[in-house]
Amino acid sequence: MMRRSQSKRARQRGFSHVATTLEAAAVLGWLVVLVLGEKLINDAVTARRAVEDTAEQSSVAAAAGYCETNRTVASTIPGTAARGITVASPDGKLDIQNLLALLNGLGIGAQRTMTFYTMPLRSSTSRALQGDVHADPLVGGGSYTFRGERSFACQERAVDIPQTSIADYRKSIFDTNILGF
Amino acid sequence: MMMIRLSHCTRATMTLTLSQIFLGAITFGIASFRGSEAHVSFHYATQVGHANYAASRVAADHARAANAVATNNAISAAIMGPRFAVEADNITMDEDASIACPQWGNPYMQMVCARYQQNKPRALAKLTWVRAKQAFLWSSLGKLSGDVDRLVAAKAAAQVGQTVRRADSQVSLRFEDPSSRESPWGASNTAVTCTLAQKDALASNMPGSAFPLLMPTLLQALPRALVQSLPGAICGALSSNGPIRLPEVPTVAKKAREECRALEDAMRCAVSGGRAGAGCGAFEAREFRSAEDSGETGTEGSSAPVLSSELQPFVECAPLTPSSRSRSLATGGYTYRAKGGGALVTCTFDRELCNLRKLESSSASYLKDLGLPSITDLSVSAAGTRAPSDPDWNHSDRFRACAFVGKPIDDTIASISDATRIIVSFGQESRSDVLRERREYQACGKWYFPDAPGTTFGEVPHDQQAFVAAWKWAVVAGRNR
Repeated sequence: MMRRSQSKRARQRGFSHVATTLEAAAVLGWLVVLVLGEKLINDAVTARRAVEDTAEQSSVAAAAGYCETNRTVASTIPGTAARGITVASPDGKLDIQNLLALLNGLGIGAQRTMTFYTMPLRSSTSRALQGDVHADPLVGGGSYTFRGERSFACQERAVDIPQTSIADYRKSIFDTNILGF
Repeated sequence: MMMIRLSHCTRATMTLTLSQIFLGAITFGIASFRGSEAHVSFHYATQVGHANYAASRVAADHARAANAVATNNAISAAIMGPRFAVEADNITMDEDASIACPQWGNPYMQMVCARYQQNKPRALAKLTWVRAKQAFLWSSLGKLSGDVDRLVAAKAAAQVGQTVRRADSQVSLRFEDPSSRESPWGASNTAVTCTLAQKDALASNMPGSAFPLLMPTLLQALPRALVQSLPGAICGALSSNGPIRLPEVPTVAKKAREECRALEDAMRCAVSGGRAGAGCGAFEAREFRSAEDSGETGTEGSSAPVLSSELQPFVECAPLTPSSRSRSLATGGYTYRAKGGGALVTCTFDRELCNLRKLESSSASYLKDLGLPSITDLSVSAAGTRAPSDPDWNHSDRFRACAFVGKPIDDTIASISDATRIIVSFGQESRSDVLRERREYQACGKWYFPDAPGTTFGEVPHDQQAFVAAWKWAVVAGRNR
């Protein structure tokens, strides 16, 4: 008697209907989707922001530093890992071949600071920075990887002295062409 | 009964459906808002990134071009030092020959003369070679120094534009680069370069390296003395070692001696003429040859002697006193009595000072007569070495390149953001103009010279050309437009 009364009450509330039950499950499911979706978006945005920030930091750090490869910049966002990679890709042609040939003929070319001379003339030298980030595994596992890329400029690392020694160049010229008459 | 059940069922279903729609709307709204927010955020971050990249790239290439100019200066100095040395050795050889060859009776001198005649063509060939290379290098490198900054920066800007357009064609990019309008390397550094080359040459074994390889020299010190004087003769540079004097050159020393002797005679004439009113034929003025002569004077008196402007720097006339008398005895002096039987006046001639001054003028005249090819006629725009145009060279605000980047927010994204805010605020909010406002982001890069000893670009360690260790920084600031 008691069980029949509860069953009747349930039927009166409409929860005994299969379609209604399924619809209720769908609502709850949507809630789950809502929550998970928010987490997904949040993680994705965080991950991409980590990439953007790291790429930006790497770009500035590399622009302020010397031309080096495999410079690593740690991400400042917890739970993410990022690295900046500098890639030297000289793709320009020197337009002063005749002048360089003349200098080589005088014995100039092997000086330590000669790089500072030739590299700027490869003005199309480009550099690239890549930042990868692996965000925390999202619900259901997995790793989301984004890639941020910045091009930047760099400068050749100075040799051990901040001056270019005239004597280095002069010795080559004099010893090669004049000494001994 | 059936109607009641249906009614309950329908009510529950409607409730669920409405809940579902509501949740769906919230989900959609949140996702849209988050999506538009993330889009806008990354939109700005990307513009900042573009600006930062553009500024740092152009500034870095300016800095690299500056280093190329510094290296050009170093190479130019490196060829000038050998030229000084070879010029000096050739001049010394000629002077040796002028001394040795006339001495027919001296076998050693004749050997020196023979070696000169035998080897002079070799020395001359080296001289011709080094002059030609120096002129060509200075011309080529000077032109490159004048152009490299502009070319490199223009190429960098073009590449930045290409890269940014490839990433996003809607981005507008512009630069503010004072160096693109006018070269920052507009000043001549020729005098400094020649001085540095001279110092480098003097510190090396180059001066005099032709001796005794080609011939023995009678004037050992002359090559180095000439190297000290050549920056002035060839480059128009002031010597850092004071006035040029070449007492080692016999003709120069002889000319200086003769000129001083003539001046001293002129003073004697003037003193004599002033006293007696006659020419130099009658020297009534008395030269102090000994202490006994000091008291002898004429009695009628005379007016003060008239000294030419050329003579005045070396002559000092004063009433005779014990101290002036002793000075006169040391240097050679002449006395006269002032008009009307006045006091005795003594005039002294400073032979040492005269010799120094005449040595300087005759040395300069000697170098000029050599007719060495000069580089002072090279214009700054055509050749030579370069220095920054800005006197405040290591803190110049002109060594700065700024990039400005802007892009409108995507209108669809802005509409979604607007719609979401309007719904959430139940219609209280309106279309956002702030979101749609066009922003331009600025980043600047700067390159500079490290503070070196001295206050000018040329004041660098004596054996080194200033290497421009330029650097750059980037700062980003948003700017509304």
